Amino acid sequence: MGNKKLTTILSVLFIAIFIFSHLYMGLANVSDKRIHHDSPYGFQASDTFSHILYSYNLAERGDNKYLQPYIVADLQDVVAINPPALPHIVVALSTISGLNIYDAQLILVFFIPILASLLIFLIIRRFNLKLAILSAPFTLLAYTEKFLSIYTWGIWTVALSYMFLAGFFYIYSDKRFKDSWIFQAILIAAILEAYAVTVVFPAIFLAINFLINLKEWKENLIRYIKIFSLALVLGSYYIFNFFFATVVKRIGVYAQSSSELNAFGYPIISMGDWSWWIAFIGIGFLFYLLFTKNKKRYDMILGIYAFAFGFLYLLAFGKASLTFRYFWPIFLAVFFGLCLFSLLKLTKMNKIHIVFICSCIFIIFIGAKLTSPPSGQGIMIPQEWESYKWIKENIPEENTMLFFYSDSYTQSAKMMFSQRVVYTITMNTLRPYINNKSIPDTLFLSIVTEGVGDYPYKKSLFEFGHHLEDNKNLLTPSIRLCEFDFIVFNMANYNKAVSEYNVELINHLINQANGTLVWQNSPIFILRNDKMPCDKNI
Amino acid sequence: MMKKKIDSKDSKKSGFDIKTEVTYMLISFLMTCIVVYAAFYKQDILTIIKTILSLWWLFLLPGYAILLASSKCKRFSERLIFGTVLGIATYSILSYPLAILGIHVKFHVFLIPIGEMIAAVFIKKNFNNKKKYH
Repeated sequence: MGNKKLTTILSVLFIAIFIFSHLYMGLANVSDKRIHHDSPYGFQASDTFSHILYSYNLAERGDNKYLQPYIVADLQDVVAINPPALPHIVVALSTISGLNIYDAQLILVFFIPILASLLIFLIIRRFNLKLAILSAPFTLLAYTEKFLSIYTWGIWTVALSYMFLAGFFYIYSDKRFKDSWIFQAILIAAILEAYAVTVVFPAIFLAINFLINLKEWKENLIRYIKIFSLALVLGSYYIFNFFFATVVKRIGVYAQSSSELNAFGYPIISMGDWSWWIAFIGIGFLFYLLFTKNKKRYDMILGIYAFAFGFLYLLAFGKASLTFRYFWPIFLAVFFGLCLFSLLKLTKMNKIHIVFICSCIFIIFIGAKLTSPPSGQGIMIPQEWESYKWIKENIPEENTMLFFYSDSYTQSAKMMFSQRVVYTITMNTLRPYINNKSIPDTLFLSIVTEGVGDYPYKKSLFEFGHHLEDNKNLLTPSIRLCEFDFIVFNMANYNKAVSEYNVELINHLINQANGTLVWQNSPIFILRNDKMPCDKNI
Repeated sequence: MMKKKIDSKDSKKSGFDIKTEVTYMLISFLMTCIVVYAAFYKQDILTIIKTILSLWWLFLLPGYAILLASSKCKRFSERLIFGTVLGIATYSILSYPLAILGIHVKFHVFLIPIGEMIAAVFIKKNFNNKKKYH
């Protein structure tokens, strides 16, 4: 067999193994080796359900102009300024494949690291196929420990924008695409619609490139103007709304200074999380500095940029920068590959079949690091999903519903799958009543919503109002318990006292306050208010 | 006859041969099915094929067609991988304003991929040939 033919066969085989490993360690591991699920499976945080709600909003409305009232405290005119790219592709996949929206969502989310890794593979392959094969296993670290949070905790829009960013880097580095500014503009527009703040990365990248290549400043300037002008035109409607509804009013601006790192809300990736893998990256980088003749090699330069992007929080791009670190296993893989490649070259063992075997060994090694799925079913148990379906089908929309405190309901976005305005009571409000074993009359409640940017509504073409500015108490009404038509109890609590209190309250409401148990599927109980007395304490 | 000869020469020059492309496409589809089924062995094969076909129809084929038309990517694997990313990007960019204009998203699943593929054929037929022969 000729060397060329062997190389082709091994590289095709490697891509198949590589994609399988990504699927198996990522999506299949999280979703119990199934694509279709009867209820949402594998979602670990409330944010995941926020994104799924946006997709439901799009599927129900047919457009992403406004948000459904049940998502935004029963307001009818809230402009949807959530990033539209992800919901649109999710609804498309769900519509044509017949999959549930939540299944389609999970599939597409886990396609992001696969496609980004393959793009980086292609970038490295332009310089050296063996290096690309040796770099590839490192990308699988994206599914280990903290790194997996980006997919299971729902930092999805940002992840999608990073995939487009990888696409942008891919064509920017290719001489064949040098005059294809339209493709670059399409990818910048996609970044804007996936997660607008991410555009800061290509902007910094282009600015530095501009300064480095000052000799070609005129040509580059025209090219950049063309790219960003077309990108802004393509994403104009969203950018327009986003800008005037949030940036102008300084609402929901995502940049966070370094002092606010604790407000990030997700696990922060630090050097310590790499354990001894960091040694490969360090040695690889050292080899690059000492032995690589062509210092301008784009695959390496990209790795350096990616590393630096992870520290942009020092310049006030906190969230975008810290989230970028989740993609370090993908963007820094080249240094891992360079470390192995240099060692194999030193020992004169850098033949394609040895490279292939070596890479497969590392894939198995990283695979063995992965244990069982992060936490199986996730935060939505089937009974809970059933309860939301029952509410949707059986309770009229005009009825008010109280979701009584449960530890499970602290991951609040999922309650909106009932497609009703969700009133809930916080633990702080309830604690004195649990301690006194008394029953509250007037409740100080929270309305669970997903309104980005203080619930903007259009006043005129360029002016937005904000419902939360107009009514400061919009999300914290005080309502009497007896005024609710239905009360939902969820007994899934870590605190035994809460469960005991809930049982006592259910018994009290049924026996002494005309409540009727209309649906139950342990741990969920739904009570209907059949004229609870409102004139006195119940 | 002459035109046909020119077309075939052109496709060979740009590394594009319809027979080879279709063969590669079928092989990669089969490989994808095998790989996905191996990873999701608890799922029935029909759902897997339906899902893969959907992904191909929505994102891969339109992106692939655009790249083929632009004659930028010489390698099949590049057209397949980068084409998918480009397909996702173009779908999201087009779907959002179309929905705002009043076309329900459920129609986009046919409108956008077909539109993109027609646009790709149009670009291939007009712009690439014009550049070379006119």
